[in-house]
Formats: sequence, structure tokens, C-alpha cells
Amino acid sequence: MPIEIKNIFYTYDKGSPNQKEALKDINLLFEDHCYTALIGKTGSGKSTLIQHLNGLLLPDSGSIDICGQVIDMTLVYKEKKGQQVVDEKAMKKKHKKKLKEVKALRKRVGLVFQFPEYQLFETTVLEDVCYGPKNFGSTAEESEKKAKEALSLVGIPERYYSRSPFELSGGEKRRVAIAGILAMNPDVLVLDEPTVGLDCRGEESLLALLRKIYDSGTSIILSTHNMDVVLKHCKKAVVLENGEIVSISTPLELFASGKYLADSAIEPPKVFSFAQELIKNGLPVDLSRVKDCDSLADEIIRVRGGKTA
Amino acid sequence: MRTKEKENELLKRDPTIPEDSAIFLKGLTFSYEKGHPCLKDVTFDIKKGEHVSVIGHNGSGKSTLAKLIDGILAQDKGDIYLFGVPMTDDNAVLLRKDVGLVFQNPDSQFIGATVKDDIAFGLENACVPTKDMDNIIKDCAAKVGMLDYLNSEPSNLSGGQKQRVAIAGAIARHPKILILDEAGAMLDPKGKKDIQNIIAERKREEKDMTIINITHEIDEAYGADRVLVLSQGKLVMDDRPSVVFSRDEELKEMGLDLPFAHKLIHALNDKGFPVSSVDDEEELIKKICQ
Repeated sequence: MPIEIKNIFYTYDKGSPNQKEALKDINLLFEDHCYTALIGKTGSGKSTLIQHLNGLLLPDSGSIDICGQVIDMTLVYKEKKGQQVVDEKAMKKKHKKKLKEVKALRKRVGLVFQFPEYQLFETTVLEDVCYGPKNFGSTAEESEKKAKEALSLVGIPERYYSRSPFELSGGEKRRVAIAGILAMNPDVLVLDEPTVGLDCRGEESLLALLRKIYDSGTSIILSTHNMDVVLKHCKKAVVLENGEIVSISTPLELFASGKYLADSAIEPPKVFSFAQELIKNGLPVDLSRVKDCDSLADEIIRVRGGKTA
Repeated sequence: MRTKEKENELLKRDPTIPEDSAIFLKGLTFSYEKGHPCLKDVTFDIKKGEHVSVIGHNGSGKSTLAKLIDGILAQDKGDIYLFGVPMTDDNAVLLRKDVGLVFQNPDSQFIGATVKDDIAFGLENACVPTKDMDNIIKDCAAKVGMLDYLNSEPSNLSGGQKQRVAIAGAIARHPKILILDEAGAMLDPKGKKDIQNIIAERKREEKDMTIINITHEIDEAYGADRVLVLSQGKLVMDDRPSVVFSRDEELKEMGLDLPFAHKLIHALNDKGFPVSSVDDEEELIKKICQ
């Protein structure tokens, strides 16, 4: 299901001295079945944008078409003393009306916050995962069925179902939290910094899980500072800077051009810069084949034609 | 006077512990839950001025170790000696003065209403005279590059800035031991780098300061004098970085990441393209391209 964002603006604490323009004229299309990364420094607007994707925040102006449901906050103008000014009253009314409509959206776009394990709250793992579907009107039986499916997808074994979610390890908690979102069968899964704080093995298994979810037809949108993840998994990379989109491209184009990287404090993945070093030293590896350490090794062997060092 | 005497009594060194020892752990065991020890029989001796990295998978006991050394938790079995002084319930408060601790989450350790207040908090607790505070605060804030933000509120600071303030607070009392428990884990790449630069500078300027850096970042661990590897509560390796990271198979078994060059050599060897081990990446590039 595609998500189309047109001209959205968002300002925090509008009218107060702390007012902060977080998003400025964002135009972006997430195609059907996408795997897209949002990249940028802390404070660049990634999390703000993410919260717009399921109506958790409504834009000050602009429109978002989420899987056919449109949140239209295009400004309403009125005539005042012969001038066109924004009709604040009409806007507020519109805002209220939209807030009521977005509930259905949350079922289609599942949002996993940073450190989702902090949001676990039920007494058992199974109940925690059942909460979402129950809330969206599934019967107890249906909810349990959906919850069990989701838990098996994220690889949480049955013997964990009756345990308290707080007794699990960090990586396990995160899986349970993600299962809670998956149990609602969203068309799009949005994750804010999903790999932060996990060790190498936890990260690998989480990414394998996202891959599985993507392969089953769900779109994945994630924000991350981890460029290895972007290179290996994502089809598209969007770079945000100070609330504006500065680049939309494939990860390969982004890292190969080197543009935007320094400004956004992004370092290309180690494997990528290493491959570039190899090229500089006369080994013509094909960068488009390099996704991780393993594929770089394959590529080296291919280019060297099996001639060993 | 009597309190001074009492203090001296409490801080008496154990003569069997080496003179140059900063942190000596002997058979340390700790469990949160009975029957499930989270640290098992950990023994090591960290020397004064050493920069040690501690690595290990999630739940391996790294953070628990930090809390034990700072006396926040009390061990079930074994002994902790700071500069040769055995830690007890009675002297933990006194010993803790020598330890500065920085945690992972920038939001859960900012206590003051402003940067200045936050750094002052530790000083107030240590009964530092108010007239001295101003200079100390400015000095510490300058060391972490936050001098321009003394009156800023936490809500206006980034995670990286908050962590820098946490470091300023930790070094304000000139601790002899600085422990960073994944201080950069929740920060963006720039924030992480800033923290590393600050640590490197502290190390340069205060050669006697003992630094323990608990981390997931392999490159950080590579820069330390010594690496301790914890796995399921046990100390499984304790050596120079080059030695620890040459034991790739074992590290991989434990679910730990390897330095990039090691990973690539591994992948090449596995695919029947033999490359012998190298000292640095440059050498590896040469080998591959020749």
C-alpha cells in the first residue's frame, strides 16, 4: 500500500518561544511494498516524519494519502480586510475531525517506537501481544490466534507465552513488542531506530525477521543511523536535514556520490569504503554487488578470477 | 579528628593487593535472582591509568559489573578492592568518591534544571564549597565542549549533549576511575564520536585516570589498552586487543562482532581464497590487490 506525502509542514510548540520547525515542505512517496530508510542526524525530523505516517501527529498543513485514506490539512483561507489569511478556526475544526478518522489508519500502518520494550505492560507475553487486535475489535479468540501467529513469526517459543514480558532479555522484549504490532496485520511496518542497543547477534536476527516480514508482502519503513543496514537491506534511502529532504536515492547512489554524507554526519558503511579503497588500488570491484562482508568476498574472488593472494 | 581517624581506618589498604592496582576483583559473584548468577567468579586486576574496554553480548553482566565497582550493588561472594582497599558496606560511600560513572540513557541521568545545576548536583553532594563550584563547573563544561550551554535546559539539548554533561558531572570531582557504561549506545554517529574524543583527551591529559569503557562498538574496544570479554557472567578473555580479536571463532560463537578486516579475511578463507592474517587494513588492501 503506497503512502504519499505532499507539502507537509509541522512545527512543535507553535507560538511559544521554544517553537521549532521540525518538518518543512516534505514531499515523499513510499511505493507499494517498499523497504525505505530514513537517514539524518538527531533532530533532523526523522521521528517527527515517522509519527505522521499513522496519524499520531497531524501536519500543520499539507496532505498525506495513506493507503487510500487521505489526511488533508491543506490550509483553509478566508478574506480579512481584503487580504487572504489562514482561517484558524476552520483549521482547528478540521484538525478535530481528522483526529477521529485516523484510528483506522493505525491498524494499517503499524508503528514501532524506539525502545519498544519500554511499552510492554501486560502480565504475560501472550496478553501483551493480544492487546492490539483486541483494541481494534477482534474477539478474544481471534486476538489470541493473531497473537500466536505473530509470536511464532518473530520467533518467540510457546513456552514464553505465560511468562511476564519483563523477565525477557532486551532482544526478546523487542521481538514481543514488534509481535504486538504485527498481530494487527499492518500493511506497512514503520520502525524508529530498530537496531539501537542490540548486540551483534540480536541485530542480525532482528534484521532477518524484518526481511521475512518484507518478503511476506509488508512494506518496511525505518529510521536508522546504521548504514550497514541501509546498504544491505534497504531499496531506497531518504536523507533528512533540518526538517527538509535533501536526497532520495538508492543506497548505492547515496554512498557512491558521497554527497550529503558529511553534512549529515553519515559515514558510509565500512564495507563500502573498503571496496572503494580496493578500486583505488586497482582492483575493479563492482560496487553494486557489494552489500556486506560476504558479498564483498564473493566479488573479490570474482574479479580476481580465482587467483589467490 | 575522630572522624578522620575513622575514615583512615575504613580506607586501610590490604597489603596483599599490588601497589599499582586500581580495581582488583577476586572471585566476584552476583545474582539478581537466586540460583541464576549474573556474574560468576570474576577475577581481574586493572592497573592505575589503564584504559580497559569491556565487551560482551546483551545480558552478559557488563552493566552489573559497573554497578558493583561503584558500590551501587553489593556482591554475593568475592571481594572488590579499589586501590587496594577492600569495599565494605561501611566504606562504599567513601570509596565511591573515586569513581565517576556514566550510564547509557541520556534522559534518565539528567537531574538538574539546567546544565550548570546538573553538574553542580554531584558537587553539592560532595559538600564542595559554593565559592569553588563556579570554577569547577566551568572547567568541566569546557572539557566536554558544553561551556556555551551552561544555562540550557535539558529539553533543548540533544542526546549527545546530555551525555557530555553527564561526563562533565562524572569528572567534576576528579575521580581516579571513570566508568562509561555504553555511554554512546543511544547516540547518533557524531554523538558517539564526540564521546570517544572526550575520552581520548581525558586519557591524554590525566595519565593516572583509569578508564573502563563498556561498549558494543568493536572499533572503540580496539583502541583500548586491554579488552575484557564477558560471556554469560564469566570473564572469558582478558588480553590486549590484538590478541582478543585474533580469537575470532570464539568471539563469533559468543555473538560478538569482529573488526572489519577480520570479518573479511574470514569470509575469503571460507570461500577458498586463503588470506593470512594482517596487522591493519592497509596491509589487507595490498594483499587483495596484488
